Amino acid sequence: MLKLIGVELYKIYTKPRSYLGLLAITIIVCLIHIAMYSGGQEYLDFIFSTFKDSFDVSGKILTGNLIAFIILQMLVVQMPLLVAFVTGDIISGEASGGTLRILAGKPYSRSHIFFSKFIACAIYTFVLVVWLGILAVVLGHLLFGSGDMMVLKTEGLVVLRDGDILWRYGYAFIIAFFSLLLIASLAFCISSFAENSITPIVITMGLIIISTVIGTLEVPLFEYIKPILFTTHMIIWRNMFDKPVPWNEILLSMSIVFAYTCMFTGIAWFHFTRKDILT
Amino acid sequence: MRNYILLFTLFISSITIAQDAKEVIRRCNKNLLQIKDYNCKAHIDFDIPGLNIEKIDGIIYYKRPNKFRIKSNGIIFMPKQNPNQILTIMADTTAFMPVFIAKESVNGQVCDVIQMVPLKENDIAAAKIYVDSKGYIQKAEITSKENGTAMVNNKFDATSKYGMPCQTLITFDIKKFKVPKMVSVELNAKTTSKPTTTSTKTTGSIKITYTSYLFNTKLSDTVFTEK
Repeated sequence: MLKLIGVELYKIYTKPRSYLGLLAITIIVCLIHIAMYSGGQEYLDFIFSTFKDSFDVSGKILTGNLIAFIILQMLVVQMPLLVAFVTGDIISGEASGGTLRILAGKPYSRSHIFFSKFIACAIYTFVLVVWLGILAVVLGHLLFGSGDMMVLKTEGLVVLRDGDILWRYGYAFIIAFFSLLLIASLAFCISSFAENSITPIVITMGLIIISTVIGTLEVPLFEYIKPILFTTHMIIWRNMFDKPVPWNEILLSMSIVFAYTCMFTGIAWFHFTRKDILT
Repeated sequence: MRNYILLFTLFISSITIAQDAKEVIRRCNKNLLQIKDYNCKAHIDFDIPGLNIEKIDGIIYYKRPNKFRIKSNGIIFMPKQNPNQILTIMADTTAFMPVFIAKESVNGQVCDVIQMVPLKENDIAAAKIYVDSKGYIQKAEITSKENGTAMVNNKFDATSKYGMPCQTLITFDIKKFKVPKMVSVELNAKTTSKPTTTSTKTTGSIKITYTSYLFNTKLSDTVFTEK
């Protein structure tokens, strides 16, 4: 199994598209850092203008902690796309390339092949999240320094003290990893049905966009659908920056994320272990 | 003849009231005008609707006539009407006319209630101060044109010097915060629809506990400008 995982990781390593995600994250995050470094104060003055009208706010606002939070918020839509780029291709890419049949002919069970691919996808997702963490939090702290963090909410503002933030980022990245693993499993599931690599990526992105739009619109009809949308629960990492942390809400959302991940992986496994591999 | 007597009585009593008010202000300023500058440690507790912020420690710097700064390692929200506005009001005797209103008991002390009426164009529309027999300001209500009313309630202890409190509770008006969903990027948040009759104003409070006062240390102006 470990050998198979190594092989799958090597395949990801040798594919140029695997680096697109890392490159995209690097460019986006560096651009945000540069923009914030040059004109971040004006941006924050606009964002927090509601509060500055009523209060004299003193203290350092433009901190590495806040910049990392802004980056994470901005990457809500992009990160799943970057994950789907690689994970949507992992089975269907081989099907279209004709290597899946050769792989299935090797003395390994279909389940072993399937789970080695899935674990390789999970490792790739993990690497993306860790890279994002390094660029957003570590580079953010190096450039802007540490300090308190203001979290803007629709009904007010939460100010978190400097010493009370890093552990929240730790949990937020763990939640982000499992949320992206859900996307990986969705793309993986569609990939197991498709015969080319574009279809799973497009379908996955389409589903994410539709779910996000439904989740954003405040129409009574959608209120019944929202709780069952996976995108509703994927952005629960933001709640780690509430005070107090709504652990019950987070655990419920993570359970739903986990259930979706199991469901998509289960469907994919069921199909993959039974399908006729003709190419 | 009766009218003349009445007018004369009113004139005399108004002079007496004005003199009473000025005497109270003199009593108060006997303490406050000794302060050219001060700095002290401050422990600040916040209770502001819509603003979830933990208490914080800092250092307060003040220099006459109106330089004020709180320095700390973290973010602090202070109402636009800060408690040192009282010092500014009291220091400028030409900008406000004191009018004696009544005697009232505040924090167990019998206080003279003085209305400070602005004589010049000023952001402060009105100020009411409650001065005890020692000349300490036990309570003040400051109404500004821009920021509504702030109520300042002071506490003094045996160590209190120059009329400076050991604790201040500031209660003030604030507008209810409402941030658009797209600005807060809270995609799952629900916009609560409130009836239009509900007031958009609410009150918040900040409690400041002062310790280790240092008076007249010739504070440099750079303290108020440095980052």
